[in-house]
Amino acid sequence: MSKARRGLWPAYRMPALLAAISLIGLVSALLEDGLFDVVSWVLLGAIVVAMRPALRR
Amino acid sequence: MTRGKIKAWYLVHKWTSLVCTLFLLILCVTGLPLIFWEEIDQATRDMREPAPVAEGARPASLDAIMARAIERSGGDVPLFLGWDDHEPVVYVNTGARPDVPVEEMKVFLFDAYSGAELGNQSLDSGVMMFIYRLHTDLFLGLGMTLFLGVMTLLFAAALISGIVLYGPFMRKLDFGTVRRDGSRRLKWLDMHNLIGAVTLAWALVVGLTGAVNTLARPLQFAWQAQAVAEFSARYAGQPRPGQFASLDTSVAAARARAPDMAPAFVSYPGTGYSGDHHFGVFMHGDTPLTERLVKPVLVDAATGEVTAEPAVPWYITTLLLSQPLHFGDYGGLPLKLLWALLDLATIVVLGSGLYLWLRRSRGSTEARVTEIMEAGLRARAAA
Repeated sequence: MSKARRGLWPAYRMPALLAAISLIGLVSALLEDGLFDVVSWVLLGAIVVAMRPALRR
Repeated sequence: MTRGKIKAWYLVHKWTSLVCTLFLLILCVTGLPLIFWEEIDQATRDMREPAPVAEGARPASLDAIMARAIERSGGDVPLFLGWDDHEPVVYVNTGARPDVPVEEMKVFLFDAYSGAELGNQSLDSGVMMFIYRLHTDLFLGLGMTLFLGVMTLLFAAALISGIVLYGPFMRKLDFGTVRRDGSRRLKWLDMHNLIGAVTLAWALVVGLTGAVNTLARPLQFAWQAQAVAEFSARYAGQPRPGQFASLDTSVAAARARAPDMAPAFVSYPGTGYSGDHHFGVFMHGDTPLTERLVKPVLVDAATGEVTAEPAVPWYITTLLLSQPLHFGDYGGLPLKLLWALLDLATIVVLGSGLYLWLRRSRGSTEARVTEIMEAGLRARAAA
């Protein structure tokens, strides 16, 4: 069990990073137009790109 | 994580998912075209473009616009008058009674400066309204709306339990692993985990804000009963005014109370937005956020004088903030396209989850738990 506990964080590192990127991307365009919109597009675009392994044949 | 805990979370994931999946699939599929409602509306509506605004031009009289709309409606009562956020266009909603549902309202569009009529649209006709009704209540009313809200909360529980199970499953695998050399089910199990983990935060935000939106009607009623009733107590027993004060005067009075803001829309008495005796002049700012956080000014509909500026309660603020985060309509077309892609990804997560359950191998819950602990490799677990 202790081994399992030690082993869980690496698995969550990427999902946690992607969740943080998603939340910043969701909020950014809400605050201002212009550059803040672009930040949202880039960050949420990165979320879509992160699914790329699902498309590989 | 102990085997017992994994089993408990697995059961939460299985049952919350099974109960909500069919409804969430309907919501995701009907929600997809709704993302682009505004664009589809603009492309299909029968409206002439407003004239370019000359420098120093003065806005047309709102009273004249309203009078024209009422004349064109053929005996309706006025419900709302509002300003388009992007174009110099004023819209007027009318209806047979002050409390008609949205789909029975008529909409007339006017040039905000010349006052010329630009066209009209009917809210009840059209594919988009049909899809909207499917999305919000399946044509079954408020009860179904609230039920869909509960389904969305189950969806949130499924997402949380899903991410809890993701850790033990992925313990020995790299992020993004999709094993295509095993069984079809193993490949879809990996896809389900990958896409689910990537879209988790977006799906949680859109899901939970959707659940908040299911409470819109009850929250508006609560706001009416609480804030507006407080200020309209001295009007108790008086009938709804038959003759209204000038809209231009009323809006100017509201503007004077919030000089940094612009009016977004005006509600008439009886529409459920401002009690039975007031215009509600809803003022707003000009950023995506302050555009949506409207500040109401109640103007006596008989005299045109400001009665009060009721504070917006926290639950209405929550509702107003939830709407853009659910609709994805606050960052231009690129944001909407990303919204659509993430919606499609969620459909894949829901569909693959259903597939994984339908194609599960024989065996008990214990076999499923072992599958999670061994990253989908049942052969090794059997040893």
